[in-house]
Amino acid sequence: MRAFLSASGRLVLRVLRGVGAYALLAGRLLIATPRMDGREWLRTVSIAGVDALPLCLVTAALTGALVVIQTGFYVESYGVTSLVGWGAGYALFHEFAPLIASLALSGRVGAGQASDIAGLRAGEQLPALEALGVDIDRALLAPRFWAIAASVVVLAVIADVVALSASLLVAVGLLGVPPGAFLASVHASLRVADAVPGIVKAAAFGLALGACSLRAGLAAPAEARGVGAAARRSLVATLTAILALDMALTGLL
Amino acid sequence: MATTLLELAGVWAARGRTVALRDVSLSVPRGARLGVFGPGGSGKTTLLKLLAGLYHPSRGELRWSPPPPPGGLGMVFQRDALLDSLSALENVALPLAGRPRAEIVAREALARVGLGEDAGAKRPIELSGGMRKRTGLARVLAANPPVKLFDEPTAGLDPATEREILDVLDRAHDASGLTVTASANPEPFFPRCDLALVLSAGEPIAFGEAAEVARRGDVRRLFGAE
Amino acid sequence: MTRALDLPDAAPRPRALALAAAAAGALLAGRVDRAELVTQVRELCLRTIPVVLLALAFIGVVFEEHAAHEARRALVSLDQAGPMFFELSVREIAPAIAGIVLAARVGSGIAAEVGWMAQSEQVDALRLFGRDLAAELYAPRIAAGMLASMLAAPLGIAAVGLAGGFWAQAFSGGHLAAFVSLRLVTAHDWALLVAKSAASGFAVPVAALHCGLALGGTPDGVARSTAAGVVRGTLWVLAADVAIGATLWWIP
Repeated sequence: MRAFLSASGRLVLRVLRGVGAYALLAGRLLIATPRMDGREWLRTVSIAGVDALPLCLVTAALTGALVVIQTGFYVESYGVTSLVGWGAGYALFHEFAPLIASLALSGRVGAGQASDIAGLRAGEQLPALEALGVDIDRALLAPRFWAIAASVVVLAVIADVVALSASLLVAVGLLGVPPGAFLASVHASLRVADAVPGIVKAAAFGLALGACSLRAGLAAPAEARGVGAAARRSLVATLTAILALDMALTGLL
Repeated sequence: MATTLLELAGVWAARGRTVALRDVSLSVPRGARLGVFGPGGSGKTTLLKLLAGLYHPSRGELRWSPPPPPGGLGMVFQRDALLDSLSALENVALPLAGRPRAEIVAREALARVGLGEDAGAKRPIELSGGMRKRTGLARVLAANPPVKLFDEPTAGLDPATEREILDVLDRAHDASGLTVTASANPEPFFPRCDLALVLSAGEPIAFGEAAEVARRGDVRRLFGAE
Repeated sequence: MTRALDLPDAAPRPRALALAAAAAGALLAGRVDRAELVTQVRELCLRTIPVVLLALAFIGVVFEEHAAHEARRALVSLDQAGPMFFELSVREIAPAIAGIVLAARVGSGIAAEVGWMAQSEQVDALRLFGRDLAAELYAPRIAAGMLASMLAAPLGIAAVGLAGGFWAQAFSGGHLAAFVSLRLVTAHDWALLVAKSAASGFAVPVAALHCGLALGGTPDGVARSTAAGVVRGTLWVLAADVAIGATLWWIP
């Protein structure tokens, strides 16, 4: 009984510490944002966004193919070819494109940022910059946070287009759906407004990805092995946050 | 002159985008003590890993005559290379796998570098940098292969321990094999080597009798003695 | 002037295929370091499966919400969608999401550890002492990864079905039983599940080991190999998913 109490006490403390750390980070980011370093923002967008683009394209294409293969199974069973385009488009826009794109980016961008920050701390560059009077929040954290969030939104829009194109190809190639029928089905049932929930989700996932990766980088032990630990923690925290946000937002949107 | 044990002919080694070794040629007789000296990043570690068979020349040839038998070559690594999952004692016993009395031999080797039972039971992460270095040294002493490669064996040690370790290294030399020691700080090693090779940015700038190499002006300038 | 690009690298370049073949050989011959296997099973399975369950429970609720929304729009009973939803979890959702979680958790764990071992010259030491890398390094991690994947899939299906079903019963007027109904699940679906889980369980550790060995030697090796290990693992999971789905498409 006592062991149980002390274990649950520790858990509560851990959760509280986590909440406190994120609140502190959010406060620091908010204060620093109006005067953040624009060049660092641009640099991170080019690293995080452009580097992750090929990965994003491949995952989006694979996801588009997957969705059609699965929809195709029901089309075959129930004979409703006219619905393939709608099914694929709806599933991709509302759910899969933002979800899979941000999960893939949590590996490339999130783990990368976390280990980069942890590496700067392990190499004592961060303490050195602070000692020189550089405001880390303005110079590093805020621009990187907003750069990650912006990259995820842009990449999710690109993922929408690529995934839908890939699903068109697979529908035509594998299922033998006439291209015209697929496009007609997309056109008839999907509106531009259908892309909005996906983009809102992507923005939320991007903010979560930025916060979790920076926090993991700042919390890791400042030594060489902490770099790997930062990457691992960032991945699990991001994964959980993205899925929890997905659940909350699907109910709202 | 004793028979040649090791010969390098026009050896080049590329690592990533850099050329770590450029056109190294030398021949070393059996029983020699060779020092490989040069500033950081001059290609010492690459050369030792080539000798250990962990790397292969990108160009040129490396010949042993005869090649060391399996287990006939040991190395102290620059980054210690102790397995995190094993205790210090188990690390020392690693190259002894299958030999009788492996644990006793490993314990004796640890004692020779001044580490006792309690240090032997610890994991590498619980040891200080100097103790890790000594454990890596004990791992070579325990297996006692005829060919020994030491990559920065005294880096990060305090002066008293350094003298102690230098003596242990001296006694460990096998007159029928070969000892190669790499260091960025050659001063204590020149008198303890027969031959010396000096590298600068991957290029061999001097090779010959250690005492002669130590007196050369360009070598002394390279290490800031003048 | 000789440039490095004109010369082959002096360090042996690990090949993913050769690594996979060596590991498969060691596994089939039973050459697996037992102590290391126990460590890796504890490290990888116990820490991965709870994350998979949590992820799939969230996904179960998300998909129930989509299903309820569409059922309201099409004016059909939510319970009609339940068995289809469960079949889709078995053949697609559970293996795909479990695979992605596996790539994040198991992939990053292995890539960071092996990347650190390569950077700190531990891999060099093992090779120098003539140790059997396939038995001591590769096979235990791949076996633990496969075990994690094969355990995560059935548990994950239960998590999707139960979470979706509870949510439907509590908030959308559906019934739990419809969301865990095996009525539509066929042998074909189970075959897809097993094939996809086995493929993820093998591909994720192989990709992570390969990245750790290949990139661990570089200065920022641990960080690079961790990120690359996760990315490659995710791509292999999705590629295997598409390939297996497309292949079994032709088999009735």
